[in-house]
Amino acid sequence: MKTKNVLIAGLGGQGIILCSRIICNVLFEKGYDIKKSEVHGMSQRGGSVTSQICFGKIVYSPLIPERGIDFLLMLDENEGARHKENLSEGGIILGLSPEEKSKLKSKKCVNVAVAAKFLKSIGVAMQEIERALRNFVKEKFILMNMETVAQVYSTEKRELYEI
Amino acid sequence: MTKNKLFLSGNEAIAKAALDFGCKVGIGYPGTPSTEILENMSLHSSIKSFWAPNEKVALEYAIGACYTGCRAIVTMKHVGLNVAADPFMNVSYTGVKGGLIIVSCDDPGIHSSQNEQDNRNYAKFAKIPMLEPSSPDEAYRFIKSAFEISEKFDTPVLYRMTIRISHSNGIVNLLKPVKQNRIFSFQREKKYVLLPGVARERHKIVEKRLEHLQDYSDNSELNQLEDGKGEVLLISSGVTYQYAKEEFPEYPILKIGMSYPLPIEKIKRIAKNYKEIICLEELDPFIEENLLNNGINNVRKRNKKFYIGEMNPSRIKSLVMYNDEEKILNKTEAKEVPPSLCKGCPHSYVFEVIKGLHLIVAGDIGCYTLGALSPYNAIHTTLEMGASIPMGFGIRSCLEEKERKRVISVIGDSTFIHSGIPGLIDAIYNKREGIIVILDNDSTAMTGGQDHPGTGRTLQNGETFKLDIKRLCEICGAHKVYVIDPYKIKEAKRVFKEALNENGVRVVIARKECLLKKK
Repeated sequence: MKTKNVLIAGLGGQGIILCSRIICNVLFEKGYDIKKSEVHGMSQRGGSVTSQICFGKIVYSPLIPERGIDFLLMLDENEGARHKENLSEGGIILGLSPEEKSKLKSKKCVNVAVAAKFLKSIGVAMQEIERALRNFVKEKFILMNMETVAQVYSTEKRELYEI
Repeated sequence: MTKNKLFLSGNEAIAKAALDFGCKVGIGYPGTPSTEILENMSLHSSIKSFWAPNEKVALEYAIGACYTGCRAIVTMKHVGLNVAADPFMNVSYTGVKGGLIIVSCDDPGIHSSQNEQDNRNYAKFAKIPMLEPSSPDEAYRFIKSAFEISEKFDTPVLYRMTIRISHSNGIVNLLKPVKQNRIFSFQREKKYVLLPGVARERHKIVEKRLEHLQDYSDNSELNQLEDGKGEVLLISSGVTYQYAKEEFPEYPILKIGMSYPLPIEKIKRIAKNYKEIICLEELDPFIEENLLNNGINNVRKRNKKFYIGEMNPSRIKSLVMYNDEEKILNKTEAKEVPPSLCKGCPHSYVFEVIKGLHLIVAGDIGCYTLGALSPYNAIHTTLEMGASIPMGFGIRSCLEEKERKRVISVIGDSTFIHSGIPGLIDAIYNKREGIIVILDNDSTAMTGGQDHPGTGRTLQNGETFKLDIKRLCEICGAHKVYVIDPYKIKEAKRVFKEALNENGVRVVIARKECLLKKK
């Protein structure tokens, strides 16, 4: 398979790191080679933050090449928009519609919802996400997060992208 | 599938390697992108790990430990090595006994730093061997080699990481752990006392050691030639290897893992077979110049544009194809949202007060550097850790009487303990006049809320003596020390006005815990 590149875009404090960890953990358990790249530090004080995930058979670069984004995951609309020009041909944008956002229990769940939306779209089972979540989230928050995941999985729309 | 494999960041990989390869001491000072190494090392009880008040102290402690035969790792960001430069230069002369690795995490692209100095130059400067991993997997494996080199050649090893390896994750293949159950002891040796006579002798040994290291580098598996097609040879250093493999998988590539001393004899042999050599380096032409100095003339001189900033796959492509940036990159630079102080941050209240008083503010390194941005515009200099205090007094000393009174220094609690205290002592000793504001949020906040001597908590979150900053200032001889609650703005304003009219060295401590720490 050709390496697939995922870029998650948002603002510091939105939980991009957790979103990216869940995705990587699921892909890791599936046996993909993965490189993930993000920058901690000053940028986390509310500024623009991205996390880049490249996965495939053998992956070298932790950074996505020019016009190489296959999946653009938007935690924030404006932040996502900045990266649209870097989409690959046929690149896919995933985010939450205002309606979907309003249905979430908490604004804090946007990160997990977007991760679930992406993983669902590449054919990952819900249980696999739960397994990943347990590695990073305290027991008391598992239920809230899994409700979010279930919400995403219960929607009718069933786009499945080949990877 | 995942047996013996972990998905780790470069920093986590170093911590795991420390555990697996017999490291007993880990010490450093927080700084992006190095912070997570010690945080992860602290999870293992077999390693004694600590936050030191600054990088110099950290390195000195580790040197002492390694003199007894113990393996030690010191971690810091690139500019931290400037602080630790004194012991770094000299431990090159004394040598070590147990393996000593100094991890320097550089920040090409200046994501969260004051500059993008290329610390590879320090290896040459101190005549210390240097390893440069290109991935988290190598960040793990090379620690084993680094300890071996350190002990075999009686030398500290500089371990140069960059932000893109520290903060990127990859699959790490675990190796068999090395058991180290030695009993450590201190044996007196002449080399540990660097009197001039000893140092002169040691310098000769250092030069000889470099020759041996050169041989080692020429034959080491850390430097590997991967065959390919064409007349151009790529030489990679650190993460650029990964970009090159993505963009130019067909090209022959010499992957440098030990970049000081370079495998010069090996390169001389290979170079003849190619029309041109291109060094894929981040920042300085470190390898390029070394090759040219050694009479390898078919090296491409990189366009100076590539001396600046972080590399990425696209830039590697433009370097190899055009030796220029603009040819394939026509990016519309969309505006990024800059970082800012958190909503409700105690610092922001102090800046409101400072702003209203129209002061000249010598600032320092920390979250509060963000006070330089609007709406506060209340920090007017930022140079390096601890600079605010001496620089503030320096500015004052040359101004007219009326202007003088407007100058203050602003520094955080962790930075004050790191290297601000000598500035305070200088001010009192030399009878200077002025105000030092210590923004005490009980945290090393910018790097993620690490503890320090002023928080009364250790790296492992254990209880310890809590340094009383107020008392410290009084003992140093400050004429007046005020403590304010930044949220009580009216009172804060009154104290600032009073302090401005006092004489001598006045310290205002604005004390309120970081909001992120409370969570």
